[in-house]
Amino acid sequence: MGIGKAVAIVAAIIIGILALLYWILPWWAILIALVVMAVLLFFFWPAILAGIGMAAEAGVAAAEGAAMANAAKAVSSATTAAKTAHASTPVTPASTTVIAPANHDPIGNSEILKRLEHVLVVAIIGIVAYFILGNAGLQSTQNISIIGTIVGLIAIAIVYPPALGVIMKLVGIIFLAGGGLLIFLIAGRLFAPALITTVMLGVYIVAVFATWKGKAGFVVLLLNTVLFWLLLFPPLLYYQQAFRPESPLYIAAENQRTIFEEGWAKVRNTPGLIKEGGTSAQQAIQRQILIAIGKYETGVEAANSQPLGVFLEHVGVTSPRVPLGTPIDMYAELTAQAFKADELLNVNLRCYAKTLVGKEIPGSAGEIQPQSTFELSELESYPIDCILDSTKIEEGAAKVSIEATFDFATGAFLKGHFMPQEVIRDYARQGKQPLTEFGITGKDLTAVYTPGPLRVGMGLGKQPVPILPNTAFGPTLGVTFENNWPQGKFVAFKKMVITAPPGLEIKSIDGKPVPGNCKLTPLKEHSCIFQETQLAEFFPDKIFTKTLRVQTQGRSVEELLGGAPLAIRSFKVDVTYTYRINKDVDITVLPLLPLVKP
Amino acid sequence: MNKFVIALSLFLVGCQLGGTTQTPGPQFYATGTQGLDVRVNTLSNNQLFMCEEGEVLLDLHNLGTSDIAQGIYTLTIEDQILKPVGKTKKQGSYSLEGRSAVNPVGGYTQLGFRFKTNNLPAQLETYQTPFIFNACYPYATSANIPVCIDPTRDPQAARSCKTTPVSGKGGQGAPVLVTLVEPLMVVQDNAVLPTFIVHIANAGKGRVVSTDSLGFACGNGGGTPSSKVRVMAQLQDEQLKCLPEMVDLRQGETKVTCMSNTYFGAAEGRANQGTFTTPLTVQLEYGYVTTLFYPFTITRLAHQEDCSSTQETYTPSTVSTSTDRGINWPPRS
Repeated sequence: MGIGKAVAIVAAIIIGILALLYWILPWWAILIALVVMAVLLFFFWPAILAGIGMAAEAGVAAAEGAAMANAAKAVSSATTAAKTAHASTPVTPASTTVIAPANHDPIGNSEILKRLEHVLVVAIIGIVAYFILGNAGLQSTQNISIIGTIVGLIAIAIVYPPALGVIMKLVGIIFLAGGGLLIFLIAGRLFAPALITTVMLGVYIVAVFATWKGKAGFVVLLLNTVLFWLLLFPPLLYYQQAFRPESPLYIAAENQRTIFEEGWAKVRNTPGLIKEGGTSAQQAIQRQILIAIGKYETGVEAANSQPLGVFLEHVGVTSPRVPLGTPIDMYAELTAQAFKADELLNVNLRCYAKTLVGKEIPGSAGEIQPQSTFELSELESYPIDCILDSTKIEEGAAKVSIEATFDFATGAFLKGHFMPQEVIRDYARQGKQPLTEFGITGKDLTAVYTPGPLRVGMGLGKQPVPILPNTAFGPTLGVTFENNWPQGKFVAFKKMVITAPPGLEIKSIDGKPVPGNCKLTPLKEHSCIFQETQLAEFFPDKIFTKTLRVQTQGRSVEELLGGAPLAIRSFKVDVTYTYRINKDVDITVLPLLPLVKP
Repeated sequence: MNKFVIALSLFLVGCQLGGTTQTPGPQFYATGTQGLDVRVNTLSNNQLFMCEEGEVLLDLHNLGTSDIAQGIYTLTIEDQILKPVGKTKKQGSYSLEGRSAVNPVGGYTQLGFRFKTNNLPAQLETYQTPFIFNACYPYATSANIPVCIDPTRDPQAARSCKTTPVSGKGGQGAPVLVTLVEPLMVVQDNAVLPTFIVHIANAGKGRVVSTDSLGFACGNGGGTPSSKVRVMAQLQDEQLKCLPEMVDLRQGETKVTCMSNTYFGAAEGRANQGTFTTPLTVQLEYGYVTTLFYPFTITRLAHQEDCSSTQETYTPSTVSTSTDRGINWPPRS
């Protein structure tokens, strides 16, 4: 078998394997196959080159023999000899001077058959490669150019064997230089995670440098970078011309472009991230300070069968790749879970597009269907759509965001255990814990807040709270407010109600007297109501973790203790506030598709 | 005629058998360390829905040997959540006979408390709130400990008993008990003055208070906090002198020394009575506090807002004092 045929068969097998892997097998099988091929090439490339060199020499020898035969039969087979010389005569001038053996058979049937075989193999390879690349999404123009070049080179190698070595070197250079691009595209087509792509490219780069050493490796990398740039990024964005829209190669290129752009956006957004992280750190520090000075009050979330709050669930877009000018349909399910059904939950919806760094694109706000405001009762759910105009968003990767701003209520309570001071002292003298003697455990002393976006902790200091007869002594209640949902943002308080149990009354908050806000309820509780403007005074800082100190005073020992050695009375805090949640989805706005002429 | 004779004979025989048989009653022993036993009757319901009424039935048994006269109780509940309804009061009294030979099981009463649950705090699905029953009652321990009086000074002399410590760990039918009595024969001239070191401890699950602090312990404001037990001892009709007369059990087991003023042995011209065993009666008087913790779980029904639309139901509380026993009777140990 001739060298050319062997090369062609090997090439065909590789292409066939790749095609099978690419279309049939899962991504991990392809990864393994690529690694195996890379390892084989890495270790056996010199041997392959040597083999090709030997083959080229053999080809030259064979051509010389053929030339001698041609000379012997010059008269009788002039036409055939001319064709043969044209097809396979080497450039060596010596070939024309060699006298062929008298009995040497001229180009016979077997030689013609061999040539036909070569042509057939090349044709099959060309057709298969064209088919594969075409299905992968390569435009016909590019496909024909590439296939034509490859087939032409193989044909030259077959027809003119001495050129085989040069051609194979050239093909090797092209494949090595573009190997990174090939890996990039396959990785992008099959699995988008940037980490795996980066690892594969890293292995490729190491292999290039290990094989070709310094300067050559650098050249290859430079070439790859240029290829990447021309293919994926402006001004050329060649993938949009080279690949059919929505084809695997197009999606691969687009995925990789998005990954790169997101990475670049993160780099550009580093100052913002640092600032954001700084804010989080500042909040954490503030919390630690509050804990250190004993002003951080804890609480546990009440066990509920369902989470309470307003939620945007099942968020998505009908198509993550939208041609410019086509509307973007973002959908979600708006769900409200609350027990406080006497007041409806007002939810305002908004949607808009954002850059990859999270900055809202001006004028990109979409239209919410069926309506942008909802008044929800308990346990309700609505499907919603947001229609965005893609022309308001630049071509390329972006984010679309849906935002729900709603009013919600959180309640918290803390059981206060009150005992006459003398009783507490008596227990202390006996070396006993008063509350333990009554069967009360630690969990009864922790505040409980209802599930939702706000965490409310409460504390009364050490319990039981001693009650001094004939004095107006009342404990100080600490109330800590904190954001409970990391993905959401607290907007503002609307209303706060603090309730002291019967027998106590609220005197001041953070030292500010609050007589005008309070009244006695039918249950003889002392309840103080604060509205939005007054609350702004209590929460002046942007940083949200905040503890209020509520000073109380005794009103009636009899009401508080009720004639029992131990009284259990609850402090309650109810807050209504505005909160905001949002969900993002990645999209890509495609350039306008060229009109296809029939 | 024959039939008549046979019937008459059988009648006479029957009368004779029934009339002459002596059935011995159960022998009563004052043992154990229990006083008032308070249990929640299984008919009570502590799983309530918001705005619903519920009832707690408490079985009170006097398992000790002392009668309880005018014991008091107080309830500690979260009034903001549990509202007493009907005749339910947060304070009250009770009296219960102690165990004795004529009433070997002790007195029993059942107290009923009805409540209605108020609105739960907003957004809460369930809420737990305690029901704490605090019973304060005066109680007494009467311990009869057999002690050996040994006026014989000759160590080789024959003795009918030995003056060794006597344990009372089995209890004397009350939560405060005499755990040990150490007899000491104090020699004076030819006679001895018996002296006893009495160990006293609280073996019950409750708390000891002074009898005059019972009101304070149950929160009605009477008295001052104190946990003293009055100790009295008697030996052969003689009231012994106990020091201290009032002991504080807050620090655990306490010792009291009780001394006799009577000389035993060959003194004042009397002949030596020899060694003999006689009961030492120790009487302890104190107040006792028993506490019961019973948690309520209140659940809000779906879509339930508040109780304003629910009509209050009046149901009189159940208070009964009788010898009828509840389904929990007799109580498990």
